[in-house]
Amino acid sequence: MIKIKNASLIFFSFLISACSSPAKWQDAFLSNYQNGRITTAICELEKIKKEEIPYNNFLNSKDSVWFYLNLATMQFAKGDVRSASLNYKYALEALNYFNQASSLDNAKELLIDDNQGAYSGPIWEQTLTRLYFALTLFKMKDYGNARAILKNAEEYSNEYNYSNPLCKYLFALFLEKEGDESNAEILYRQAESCLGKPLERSSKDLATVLIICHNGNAPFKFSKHVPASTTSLLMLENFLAQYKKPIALSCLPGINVPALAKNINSFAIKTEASIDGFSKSLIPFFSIDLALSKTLHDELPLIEARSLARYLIRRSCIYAAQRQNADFGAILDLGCLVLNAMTEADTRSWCTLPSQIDLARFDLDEGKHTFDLKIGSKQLSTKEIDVKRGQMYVINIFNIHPFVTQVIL
Amino acid sequence: MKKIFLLIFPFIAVTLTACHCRHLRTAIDVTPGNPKECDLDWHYGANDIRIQTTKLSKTLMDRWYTKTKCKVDTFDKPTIVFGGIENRTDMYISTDLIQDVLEGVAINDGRFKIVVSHAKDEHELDCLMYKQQCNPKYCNASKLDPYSATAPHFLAKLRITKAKTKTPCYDIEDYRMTMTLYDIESQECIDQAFDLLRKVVSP
Repeated sequence: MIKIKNASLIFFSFLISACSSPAKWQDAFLSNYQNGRITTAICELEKIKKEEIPYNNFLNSKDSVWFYLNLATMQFAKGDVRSASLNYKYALEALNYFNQASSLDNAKELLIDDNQGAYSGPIWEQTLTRLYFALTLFKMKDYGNARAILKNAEEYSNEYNYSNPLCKYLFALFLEKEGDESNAEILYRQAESCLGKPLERSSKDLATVLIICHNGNAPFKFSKHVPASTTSLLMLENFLAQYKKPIALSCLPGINVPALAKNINSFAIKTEASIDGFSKSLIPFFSIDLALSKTLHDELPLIEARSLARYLIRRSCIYAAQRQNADFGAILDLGCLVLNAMTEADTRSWCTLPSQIDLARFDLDEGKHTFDLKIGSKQLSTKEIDVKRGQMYVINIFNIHPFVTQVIL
Repeated sequence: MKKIFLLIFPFIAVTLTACHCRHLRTAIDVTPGNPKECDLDWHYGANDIRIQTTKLSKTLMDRWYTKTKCKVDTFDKPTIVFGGIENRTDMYISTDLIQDVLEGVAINDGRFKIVVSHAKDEHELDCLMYKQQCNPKYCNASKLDPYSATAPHFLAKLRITKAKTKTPCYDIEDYRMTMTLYDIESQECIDQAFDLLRKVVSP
């Protein structure tokens, strides 16, 4: 009997120590990034990453993908394209490993909390990983590999019956510039059917300048207590009490589920680009806000069911202990009360994504042109760009904060 | 009851952990004629490039040396200038990696030299071409005439394409590497060879 008690206490201490949350890591860098202090945010995250993933061996941490994606996007926004592309590459390698199903992870998620499983992100996020990797490779003038990664994104999304209009459009432009017009036309039509509006085709003789605006900041997840769960569990205890079963106080914390929140300065700002005085508004191509909301809405029933199953397993252990010995049952109940209070929802997400991705395209003659940008009512300084016939150029704009805009020419 | 539980629990735990476990993906070279290499990475990497470029360079050089009847000891080695490496697969392949492997293959073969340019910069490639053309050793026919070729300079292009067949248990991936040699001045195609590497990749 004493041995069983000791074993249970050891087991519980293990469970309590395993209840860690990456939410504290997120707090360390996210507010810095969303307020425009990009360098500080990168330093904070790199410090944590060095401890969690020494020597960049992603096998060391189930949150490797989370680290690499957030770090890479911040580095890209800062203009450190080389480091960003390296981190996106590591993220893809880690995704390839952590996408595999693991029964052990599923069991840990059920028994401990949802943060025990490896982070891999939904399908649209994995497609965006490839898109961002391609954009960084394009910026480094590694056009061959950029094309290969866009092709990989296209094949990946076909495998899961998912369509990302931005990936398709970018790949179509690539193919059009190479002269593969038939395949480009197919991708253009698919992108048009996703967006619901017609898209311009490019010309081989002209230079194409693509302006991609990573506008605003995506919502971040936080752990929210569901009041109805405490009520329902109390009712369950009341029901059990009618059959003379001892009540457990561990039902009081209830269950936690993830919810979305957004920084007040994280909204997308209307952006206008003009080349040689000819102005165009950037049109939204992909809304990450909508994608996140939809994913959470679809996953919520499973999250709630798993949380409930987790509670019932713990409650069964308390009942078994109470049957053996009332004191032991009370100790276990107290342990479970602490455990349930510390069990938080999975709040990991690619929080450095923008709120939406906007795009505008200009077809220009060869030579020098002036490029102007208007963010909201603020006009940024004029820049000069030099383009060659038949080439494609991408200008990335990061609207991180109403007063902080990064332009990567 | 307790004994039954103690007996069953380890069995359930082992079964659960054995059902789905993560593993690092590996690949096996199943190309007919190639020695079976089990240490290939699941994505196209240095080993795959080494296998294919070794075979291609051997094929091209064997053909060239047979037709021109030249001996390595008596004259300078032909130089292959790689102007472009086209990646037509769906995977990231580092161009620095390809350059390192090609240089290793040239050293091991011993019958030719390699110059690899980063042809992203057209200006850099133009300078490289001009430098090669001004080389005093370059005044010869780089076409394959018997007994007349002397230390030619070839411009070469490398293209890698991929085809994939998915099955429930594994993926079969075919990588085709094509090496094309061009006359450095007229850009006329001199010779071409390709190699097909077939890998079975664990899912």
